[in-house]
Amino acid sequence: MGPDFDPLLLSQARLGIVSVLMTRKEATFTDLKSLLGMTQGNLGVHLRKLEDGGYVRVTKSFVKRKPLTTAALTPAGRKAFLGHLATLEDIARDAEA
Amino acid sequence: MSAPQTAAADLEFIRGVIQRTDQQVDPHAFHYVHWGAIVLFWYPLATYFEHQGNQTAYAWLGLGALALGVLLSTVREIVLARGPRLHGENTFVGRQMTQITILCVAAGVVLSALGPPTGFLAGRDVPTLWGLVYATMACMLGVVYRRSFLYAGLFIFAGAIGAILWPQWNGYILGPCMGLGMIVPGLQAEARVKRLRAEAP
Repeated sequence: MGPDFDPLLLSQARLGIVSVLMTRKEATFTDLKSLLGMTQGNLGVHLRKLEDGGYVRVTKSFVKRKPLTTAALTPAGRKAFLGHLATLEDIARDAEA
Repeated sequence: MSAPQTAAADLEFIRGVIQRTDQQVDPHAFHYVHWGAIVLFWYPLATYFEHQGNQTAYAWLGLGALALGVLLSTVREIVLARGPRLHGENTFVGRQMTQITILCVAAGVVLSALGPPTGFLAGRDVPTLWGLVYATMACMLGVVYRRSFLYAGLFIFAGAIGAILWPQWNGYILGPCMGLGMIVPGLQAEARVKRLRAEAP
């Protein structure tokens, strides 16, 4: 049986989004775009997948009449990330042993 | 790529993202610089006036220092709120720093106000109490933000111990310790924010 990877976090783009949101309680769309060097379209697609999976909560609001999209990790997303991280660490440790 | 190679690459990627995210935090530290500069002069002068028996100058100095500190912090906050800030403002670390500062200052204000009337603390020991408050605050900031605040906290704590041992000289000891202990890491943090602003896309 292969390692127990989280299928939603197999993509580095989504892993990056979740990693940023583990560090910050929430991040704006612009923050994520600049931190991960992703295009608007690409980021939008991956955010939607994470939102559909229940890992991320996306909030849209208006600040000074400008639209502001913020994303935050849900408890399920946090749990999934920690589980995925533990799997990665186990594999890396086994490879070193 | 094999599973161990993928795992190692992903772990490295996560580390990089977290490091980049952490570097983009924007917690301004000018409050620490202002208040550090104020106590640097306030406390030694207060002790000097106390030794001279000049209670009027002592009281006016205290009121003036408090008013100046509040004014400077308020003006800087207003100016900052009007200008653009870096991506990453209001981050988790920034919020933690604000919470720590509010918690410590509130505790200091309450203890300073209640201490002398209740006999829990002599009036002349209030600066020492603030030395301990600053030391605690700097150490906590050192844990959540930059290590330099932790070292500054230990320096201020040493000053507070000195003030407890030689209470008659407490202002002369605490002024430089608290002042430099807040100014140095505060300026380092401000320089960092300035650099990040220059590097921001």
